[in-house]
Amino acid sequence: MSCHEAPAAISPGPVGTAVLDEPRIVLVGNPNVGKSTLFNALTGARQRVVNAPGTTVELQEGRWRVGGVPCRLVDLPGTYSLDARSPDEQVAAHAVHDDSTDLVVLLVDAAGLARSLVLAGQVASAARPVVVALTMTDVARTRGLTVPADALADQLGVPVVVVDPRTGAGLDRLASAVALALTHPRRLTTAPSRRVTTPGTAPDTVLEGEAAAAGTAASDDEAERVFAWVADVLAAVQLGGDAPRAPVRTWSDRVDRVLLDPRAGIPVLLVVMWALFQLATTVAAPLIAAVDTLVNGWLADAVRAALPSSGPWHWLEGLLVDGALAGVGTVLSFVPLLALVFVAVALLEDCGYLARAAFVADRAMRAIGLDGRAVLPLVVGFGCNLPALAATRTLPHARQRLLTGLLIPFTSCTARLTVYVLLASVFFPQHAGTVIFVMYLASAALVVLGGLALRRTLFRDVRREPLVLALPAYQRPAPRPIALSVWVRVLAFARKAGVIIVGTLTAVWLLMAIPVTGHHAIADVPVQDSLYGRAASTLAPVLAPAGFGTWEAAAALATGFVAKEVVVGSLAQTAAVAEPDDPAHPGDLGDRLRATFERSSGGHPGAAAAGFLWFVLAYSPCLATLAEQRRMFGLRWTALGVGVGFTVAWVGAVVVFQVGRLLG
Amino acid sequence: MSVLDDVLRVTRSGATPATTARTLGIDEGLVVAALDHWARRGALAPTLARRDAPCSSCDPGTPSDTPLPLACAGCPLARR
Repeated sequence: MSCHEAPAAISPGPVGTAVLDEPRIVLVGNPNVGKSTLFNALTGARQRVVNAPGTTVELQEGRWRVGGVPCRLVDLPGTYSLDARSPDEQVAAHAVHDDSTDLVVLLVDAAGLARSLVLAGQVASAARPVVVALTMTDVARTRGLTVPADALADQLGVPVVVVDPRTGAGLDRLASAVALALTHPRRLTTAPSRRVTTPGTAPDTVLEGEAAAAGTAASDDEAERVFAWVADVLAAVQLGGDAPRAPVRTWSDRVDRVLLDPRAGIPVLLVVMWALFQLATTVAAPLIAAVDTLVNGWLADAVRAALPSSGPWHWLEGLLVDGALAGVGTVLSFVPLLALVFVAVALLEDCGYLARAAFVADRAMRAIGLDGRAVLPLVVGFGCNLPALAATRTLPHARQRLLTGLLIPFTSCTARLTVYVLLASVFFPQHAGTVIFVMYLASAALVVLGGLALRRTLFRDVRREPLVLALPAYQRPAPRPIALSVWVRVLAFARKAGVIIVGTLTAVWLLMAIPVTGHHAIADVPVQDSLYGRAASTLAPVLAPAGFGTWEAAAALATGFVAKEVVVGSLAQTAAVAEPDDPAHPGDLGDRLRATFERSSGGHPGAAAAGFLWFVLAYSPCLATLAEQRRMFGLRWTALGVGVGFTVAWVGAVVVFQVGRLLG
Repeated sequence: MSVLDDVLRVTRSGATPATTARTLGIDEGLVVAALDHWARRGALAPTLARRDAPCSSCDPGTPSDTPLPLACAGCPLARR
């Protein structure tokens, strides 16, 4: 049974006198200390769900008879601090300070005493009567910890009752203590005893009109006093277990001594990245070929057999097989590779190494004048540029966010990886992993150089702030969560790629079906004479100095605006639809690409492919990222970013091709 | 220096909570609480090994009210 209504207002008498109206008692404590279990044990079936005023946060409220007096008991959301960060925490903070609260039952975790005491120090600032329920004493005992209740009561200045909500032990004593506290209240004795407000509370606080009480917390001076007080209480009451001991260097400390030093940490990071790509490309190559054979071979033949090859519906075969299936199938063939990369990254993150990599990258970035706090959004950008842009919102200053947001498109996202793998496998088969590794190095170099250039020109005013990151402990990776997360990620990629690519390639196929030159029927026109081919042909001369001045390459790059995965699909679709140079030997996608780049580069296909890779890295992020940039930073900055990107891409591709051509 | 400042100083040099506790000779739970305080103040970025988003190694069992880390802020794949 539940009903959603605001809790009825009560008008308690002055604290310390006999309360005739129902007293309001709140249960406060860290998450997972047994609040809900205690609440259920105290109220039984006499409970209901209500909404905290002005919020969608649901609270459990029930009736508890204390010394014969019916009281309203409210189970507040668990929180580690009254310096609220979420709606749940704000509700808890507000309830503690609200004048309608007559007494706080503070659950203190004997197995996690420090965190409970920090909360206690903040509750003290509300100056409410408090009774402490000491829980988890059985868990504490298993860890060798002992917290004497009487010693804790002496330190806190309020009654402390040991309870076990699961067995019901101590509930009667708790009721007696609360009954006494309602008539003879006692407050927590800590240094902070005055009400304080939180500096910088979010303007859109959940509980409008009560900003002074809602989400209140100690100021920094206040917080220091609380923590100093907690340290003293711990020293006085906690026996065994986590008692401070002399520093001992563990193997983890010795490993960190190496990994966190930029002189060793950076080379280790580079080796790890290179090994990752080497492993992925080597192991994934046969899997890629197998999936490609399955989709673009067996499945495509089956679809062709089922569709009419002549008559008014003959174009349907072209649309489905040469359009959608060619593109989707090629991208799906990369799913095994992406799965391997996701697994590798998940392992690095789960074992704790990735945090060390971010830490050492931060040091390196600060050493050359860049802001360490930008490291994490940039790291995210290597997965996808879109959430990386969103992650810049957590940077404190608008100029920092803009600077980082302009650099994010230079981070090589997962979608670009599909292009790298295709071209590296076709043009550099013996060194595919190394080529991909070099592309990621190039991406990092672009970010660093771009950041340096911007900091010395348009962003001289931006202050550098270090990235402070609490390193996680090293741990053995857990296989099941990793497998689940990889599955979800691969599925999301396949769905996103599938939807976008099918849509885009269908549109491309339609453009290919419209003749603009010659006397051709719709859906029966050579690609070069179609609207698609002619439009791409006008762009091709611009790319000629970079060695890939063909309509096929221009068209693929144009479709890459939508999503970089479409570049691969577009190349595959073009190769499937366009007439081969030698109809007797049409070849597979790799053969067609080699022939195209051989033709456009004047006999230097490898150099042209390298230039193409650089162009894909730098020219523009996807449409979704551009839209988000425009929304966050405005049209001018977004246009500037696109312009710079195209310039860097074109100049870089030309340089790479021309130098590669000279080197033979 | 205060406990809070000491914890931030040691963490800034690169340390796990356990290492920080050993270095300062204080309770590890107090270190974790201090790190939580600094994270709420915006001086500390959450660890990258958080697990509540399907885009990286994650534990689907993480409570949904656990705040998202910096790296997952705004990501459409992150669970809410």
